[in-house]
Amino acid sequence: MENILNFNQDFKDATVIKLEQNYRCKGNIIQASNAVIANNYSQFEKEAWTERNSGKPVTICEAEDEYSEAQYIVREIDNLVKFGQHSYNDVAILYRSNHQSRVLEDEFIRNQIPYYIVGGLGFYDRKEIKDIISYLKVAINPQDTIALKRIVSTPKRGLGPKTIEKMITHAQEHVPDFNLLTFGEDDQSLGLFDVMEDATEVDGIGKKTARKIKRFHDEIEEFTAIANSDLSIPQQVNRILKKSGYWAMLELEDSDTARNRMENLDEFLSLSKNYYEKDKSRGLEDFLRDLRLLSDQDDMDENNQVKMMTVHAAKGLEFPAVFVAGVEEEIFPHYRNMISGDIEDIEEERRLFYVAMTRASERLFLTYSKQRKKFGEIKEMMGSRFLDEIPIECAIEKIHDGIRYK
Amino acid sequence: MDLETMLNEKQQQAVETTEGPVLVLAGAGSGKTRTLTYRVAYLIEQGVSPYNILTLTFTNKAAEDMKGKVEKLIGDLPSDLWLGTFHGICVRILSRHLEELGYNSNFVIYDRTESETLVEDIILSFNLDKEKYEVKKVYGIINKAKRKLWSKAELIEHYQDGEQEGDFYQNIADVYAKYNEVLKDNNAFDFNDLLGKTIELFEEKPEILADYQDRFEYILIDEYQDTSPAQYRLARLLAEKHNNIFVVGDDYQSIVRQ
Repeated sequence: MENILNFNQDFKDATVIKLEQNYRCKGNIIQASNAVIANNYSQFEKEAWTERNSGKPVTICEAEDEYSEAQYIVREIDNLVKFGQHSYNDVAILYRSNHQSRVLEDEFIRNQIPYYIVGGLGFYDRKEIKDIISYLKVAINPQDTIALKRIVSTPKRGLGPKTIEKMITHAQEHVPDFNLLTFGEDDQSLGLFDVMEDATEVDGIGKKTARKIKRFHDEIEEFTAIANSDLSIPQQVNRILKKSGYWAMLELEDSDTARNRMENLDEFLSLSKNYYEKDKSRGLEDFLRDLRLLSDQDDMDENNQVKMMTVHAAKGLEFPAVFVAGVEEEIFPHYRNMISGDIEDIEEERRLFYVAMTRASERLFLTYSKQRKKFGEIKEMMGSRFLDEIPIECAIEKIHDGIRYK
Repeated sequence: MDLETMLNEKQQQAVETTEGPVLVLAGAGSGKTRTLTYRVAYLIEQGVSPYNILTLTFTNKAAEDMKGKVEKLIGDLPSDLWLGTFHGICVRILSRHLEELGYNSNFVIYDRTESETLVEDIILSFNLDKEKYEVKKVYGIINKAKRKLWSKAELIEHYQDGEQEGDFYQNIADVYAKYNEVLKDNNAFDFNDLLGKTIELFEEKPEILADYQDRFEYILIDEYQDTSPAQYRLARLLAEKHNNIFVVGDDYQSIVRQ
């Protein structure tokens, strides 16, 4: 924030140009968000305007509790899709904190509304994706202990963290050049992988286990051979996936979770194929590196699903219809920034709220609950101060008395 | 390219003010991306070589989006036009100077989980109390220190009045130093390193910095309101020579407090 406010001082004789015409939002949304942000002090003077018509008023809805709030949102989405010429893809639900999604998700599942959480457990955070990436990393560099530890027991090889621990302890005491932490290519010291070649001397490890360790060691050498081969990246990924027994493990498991994991791995395979075909000079190392540079919004697909995300994750995005849920004191503004007593903190919350509001081009719904369960106790809640800053003429207020579940 | 019909008056001014520093305060939905892409296209149309233009965004999505739009405007996307995220551009720069930094060409990038595992291993190897030196907490401090580009001494100094007593922060500083050392030994960068090491490279090798300063006559930055101190430092370093820095942002939408 300081960077933009100080630009004039940092770069002498700067030209400042204000773009104030808004091409996105309907008039009511602009009027409402302008009024809210006008309550902040530390900022440049700016006033958005639009040639678009005022559109429907901003809807502010008070619900009995969080369940009834979720119910209201689902009902409105239904209306938008049935009568409002919108599709699920046009709709976003925004909230201040991640945990708020749970009640909403339950209600969405109950009503079979397809949804997708942006920046939640994203594609690249999924277990199977992290696992295959670790396999590929080990294939490239078997000395990568961090990746090695991740793959050792998936699929099961009769080797667990305990075995690894024993080997490390043993190596630290008996192998002079052993170094657990470093495994760079130029590194001359021995790593976990080297010790795995022969574990027969390790205290507490029997002959049988030692053989398993050796087998795993040899398996890794095969991965390395694949990674160093002339095969294309997708072929390499595929081979390692099969050779490691990872794919077979999922096939054998035959559950919904396993099938879902296989779908994701399939997706990963086609991802590697696209990557390879874009530029065939790039190798597996480049692929892994570039994967790391993707961010939350980058795996947002265009399927016909309602998108759910935190306001932070919504930066720069735009949706025809936006719901902001939990617009309550202590939630939005967040409790932490309410009690700090620092005006800057409230202004930060207000900017966040402004970002949330201005994601909407056609319809904006702001909802809050009168009570909600917190740490197992029912707590009375109050509508956010930001709602009071919205002029009456651009909003309508509703009350939703949903039936409570349970 | 007919700017007059495609852009409003203010957007046009933003596109055409090519020289000197320009701050564009772009409200929500005011055509920020449009202005940025037209500016890139306009510069090229005016005879600026794509090689001399650098555009920095926050997400790959934004970068890809912009590339597509630039391509539409000028027909072909020149391969020497650098348009990408801060992190992506840093990787591009770093991978050209690995030797100077003491890395070899097969470097890896650690994600958060891997960084945490490494911190955990170091805590173990230092025989520190696992309960007291909780991985997430220690990693949190290390991450903050790296984001702020602190040295080991600066970390200790910063926490000298911290809530923990004894040699707690001294130990964390040791873990911090070891963490950085191990990363380097393993030919690895964590996310903070991508910016941090690029800045380090520029500050320690002025001749390399000079090359990039010469090259990037025109610098464009998206979402300027959310730039971190490190990103800011990088932008300043690069823009120092030509001073044609064009930033777009909305202070109303700044949501990342540093």
